[in-house]
Amino acid sequence: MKQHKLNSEEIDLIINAAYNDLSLINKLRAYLLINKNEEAKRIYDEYKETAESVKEITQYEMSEELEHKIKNIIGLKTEERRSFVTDLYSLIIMKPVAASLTAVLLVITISTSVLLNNNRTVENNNYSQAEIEMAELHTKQALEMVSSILTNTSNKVRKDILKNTVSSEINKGINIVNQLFIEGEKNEN
Amino acid sequence: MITRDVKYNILFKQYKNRIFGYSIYMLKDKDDAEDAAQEALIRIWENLDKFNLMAAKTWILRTTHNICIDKLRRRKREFDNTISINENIEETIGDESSTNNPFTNTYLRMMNKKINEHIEELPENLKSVFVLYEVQGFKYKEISKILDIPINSVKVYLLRARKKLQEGLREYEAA
Repeated sequence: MKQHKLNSEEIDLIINAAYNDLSLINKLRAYLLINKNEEAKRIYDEYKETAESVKEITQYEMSEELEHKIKNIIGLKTEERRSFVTDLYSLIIMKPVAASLTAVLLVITISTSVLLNNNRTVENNNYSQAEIEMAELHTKQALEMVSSILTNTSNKVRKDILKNTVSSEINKGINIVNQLFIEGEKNEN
Repeated sequence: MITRDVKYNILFKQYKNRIFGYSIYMLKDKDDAEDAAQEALIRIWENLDKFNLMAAKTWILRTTHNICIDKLRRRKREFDNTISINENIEETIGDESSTNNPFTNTYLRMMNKKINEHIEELPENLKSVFVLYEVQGFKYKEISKILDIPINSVKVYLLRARKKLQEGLREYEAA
C-alpha cells in the first residue's frame, strides 16, 4: 500500500501523541495516522521512548546543609512542629482547586441536610389544633391501656403466681427439710 | 493563627527542590544553582507579605527564573565560553524512584543522566519551558505566567524542545 509523505503538522501531532499531550480528538487523529503509516509509527516509537525516560526523571534535591544555611541567614528556627492547622493551610495553598471543591462539597452537604431537616419541622407544624388534641387523646388512651395491662400483670404476679404457685412450693420444700431433720434426730437418739 | 514562620516553612518545604532543580537545569552548575536557590528562597521570605499565597507557585518560579537568567547574563559577560556540566550534579539526584533491584537502579541512573545531560544542552528558552512542563509538571497557563510569554509560544517552544532533545539523543546514539 502506498503511503503518503508526512507533513510537518502531522509530525508535530505524532510527537505530541508520544508525549501524551493531545486533546481527545487529536489523539484519535494521531492514532489513525500511526496505524496507517509506517513512518508515523517509527517516529511515534522513537519519541515515545524518550518521553517515557523523561517521565522517569527524578527530582534534584536540595541538601540539608543548604537548607540550614538559608534558614540561618533568614534567622528562622528549624521547622516548627506540624499541626492540623498547618497541614490544612498547606493543603489549601498547594492544592487550591481540590481544597475549594472539598469546601464546596462540604457546604452543599451541610446546607442540604439543614434544609431537609427544616422541611421536616415545617411538615410537623402543619397539623391543626384539633388534630394535635386528638393525637394527645389517643396517646393518653394508649398509655392508660398499657398502664392497666401492667397493673393487672403486677397483681397477678403478686397475688396468684407468688402466693399460690411459688410460695406453696417453697413451703412444701421447707416442710420436707423439716421432716428430714426430725427423722434424723430420731435416728440419732 | 498561622504565623509568618509557619507560612514560610510550608512554602520552603514545598518549593525548595523545585527551585533548586530548575536552577540546576538552567545554570548547569551545582554551586551556581545553590546560590540561585538561596537567593530565591531569601526573596520569598522578604516578600512573603507582598504576594498572594494562592499564586505563590508562579511567583516563586518566576523569581527563580529571573535569578537564573541574571546569573547566565552575568556569566556570559564574565566568561565568553561554554561551561561544562558539573559532575557533582549527579550526587544531588534524589533516590525517590530507586528500587531494590541493582540493575534497574543502574539503568535508571544512566537514563536519567543521559536525558538530563541532553536537556541541559537545550537552548535556554526551550529548556525553561521543557523543564517546567515535563520535569516540574506545570501547566501551559502557569508557564506562560512564569516566563511572561503567550501560551502559544509555550506550546511552540515545548515542541521545539522535544524535537531538539530527540536530535541530540539521535546524534548521541549514532556517535
